[in-house]
Amino acid sequence: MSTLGPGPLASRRDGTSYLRAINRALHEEMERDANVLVIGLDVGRQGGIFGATRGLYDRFGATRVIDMPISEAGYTGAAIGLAMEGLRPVVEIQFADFVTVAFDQLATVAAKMHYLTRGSASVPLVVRMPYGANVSGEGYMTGAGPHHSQSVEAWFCHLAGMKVVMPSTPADALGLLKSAIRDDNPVMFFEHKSLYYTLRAPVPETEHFVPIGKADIKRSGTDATVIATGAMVHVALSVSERLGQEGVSIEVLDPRTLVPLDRAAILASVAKTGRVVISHEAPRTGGFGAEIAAVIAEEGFRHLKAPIKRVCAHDMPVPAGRAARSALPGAERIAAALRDVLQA
Amino acid sequence: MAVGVAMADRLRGKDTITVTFFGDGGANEGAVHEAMNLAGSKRIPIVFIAENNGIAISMRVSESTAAPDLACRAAGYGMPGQVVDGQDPIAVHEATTRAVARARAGHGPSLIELRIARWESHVEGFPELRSAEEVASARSHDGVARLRKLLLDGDVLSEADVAMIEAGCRNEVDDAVIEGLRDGLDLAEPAPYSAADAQRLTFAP
Repeated sequence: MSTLGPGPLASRRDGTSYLRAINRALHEEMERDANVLVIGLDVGRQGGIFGATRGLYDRFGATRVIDMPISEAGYTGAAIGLAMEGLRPVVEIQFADFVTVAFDQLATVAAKMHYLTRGSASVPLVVRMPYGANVSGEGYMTGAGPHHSQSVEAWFCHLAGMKVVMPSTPADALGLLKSAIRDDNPVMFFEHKSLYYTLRAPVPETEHFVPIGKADIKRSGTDATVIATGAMVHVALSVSERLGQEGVSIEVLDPRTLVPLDRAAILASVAKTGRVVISHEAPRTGGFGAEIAAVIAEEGFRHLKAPIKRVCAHDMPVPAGRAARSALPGAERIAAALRDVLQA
Repeated sequence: MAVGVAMADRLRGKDTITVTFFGDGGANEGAVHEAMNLAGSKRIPIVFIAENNGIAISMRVSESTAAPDLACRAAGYGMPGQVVDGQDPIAVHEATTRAVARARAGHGPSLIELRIARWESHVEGFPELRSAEEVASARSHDGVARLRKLLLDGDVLSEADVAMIEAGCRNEVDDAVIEGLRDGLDLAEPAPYSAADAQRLTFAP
């Protein structure tokens, strides 16, 4: 069975956890700007179901850390109104799966406000969404079932009016969340919940920003590129590590932001390696991997030495428990896809 | 969204009251329930106005809701709910004044259901599903005419005053139309959008 790490980025004991990095970003931004609010279910005294908002209630009080009834459409709509009035709400959707009931507010109101008002109103809103299951095969959060495990990022990429961010490391989570809070657009911020407690890595002690819209090469290589998001970045890294021992040099590119997409970074990597595997945890059909593949086909076709391969979830709900492992993409499927593109 | 606007004002210590309007059709959206529940539970300074004209495109209130009115829903959110004759300007003024005062005093939201009448079909050119009598009855209720009569009967305004106000209103509408046309609401073919235009129009810098 494949394992997550400890890869080049992941360490069990040292550094800051992915969850702690998110918590730190919230603390820093709320400290800096009194307009930043946190809104959601159990975000106050409870500190969030996963602990991301721990300590905020004690520090900033109930007027800025606002517990809401189970009412995603209601509080997401209210957050949009707050944002239009110049506040900077950060909404936590307890599980990304639950955003469906707030979707109208995001798609119909938030995504279109700048256009509808010719830019006179903006919606500086961040929606934090813990998403995903676990694909490491290490036994933690193996599929929390069809309603608590989905990767729903592609829905928002198609709305034309919001930014979509998915950090894979503690440093990126910290830097991107701070950038998202300062952005004047709605930003959908996808946090991989299997990384919350398991992934620790060094994070700059000084103030740290990661710009929205910039990809990152998580491992440099020359023979093939894996473009991966979220937890799949770490699966790709451990596969690359293993293949590296066999003398194959794999590059791992993490787009970090899906909208706007860093096409230049993707095309530069494709120009270098000519072989591409794309991996995400969302189902294959209509997943964001299709968009990345299309960008490469349109603008980088001449660099390709092999057909593009996608390693995604099967088109099915995420099963509960261990059965999730075979439904979701894992290390063996990435390794097999890499062998395919390297042999083509 | 309206609840958020009201929350923002309260956070900033303003005494502004938000008033939000929806119809008998929209009243059955889940988001309206969630907004009213949020406002009730957090005592948000907002007034919900349900404009009930009895029919949503073709769906009659009697078919879309089993309750005798919409105002009774307020009880579920811990706020006062009141049915008001929406064509009686004095009654509307009294009800809204009360609701605004309540919100301003920190007691939270209210729901006012204004019973009004739909003069035309929902969209111009749609077939009229109501009987001729029903439409005639709807048109006989005119809040503006009623207020005019009230003010004339009470010697608050003279016929000349009324004529002057009405002419002023007509001019205001005419000016708005002229201004709109001048600002490009004409039938000229718009310039084609580039991908960069789309980005600029859709996202804040």
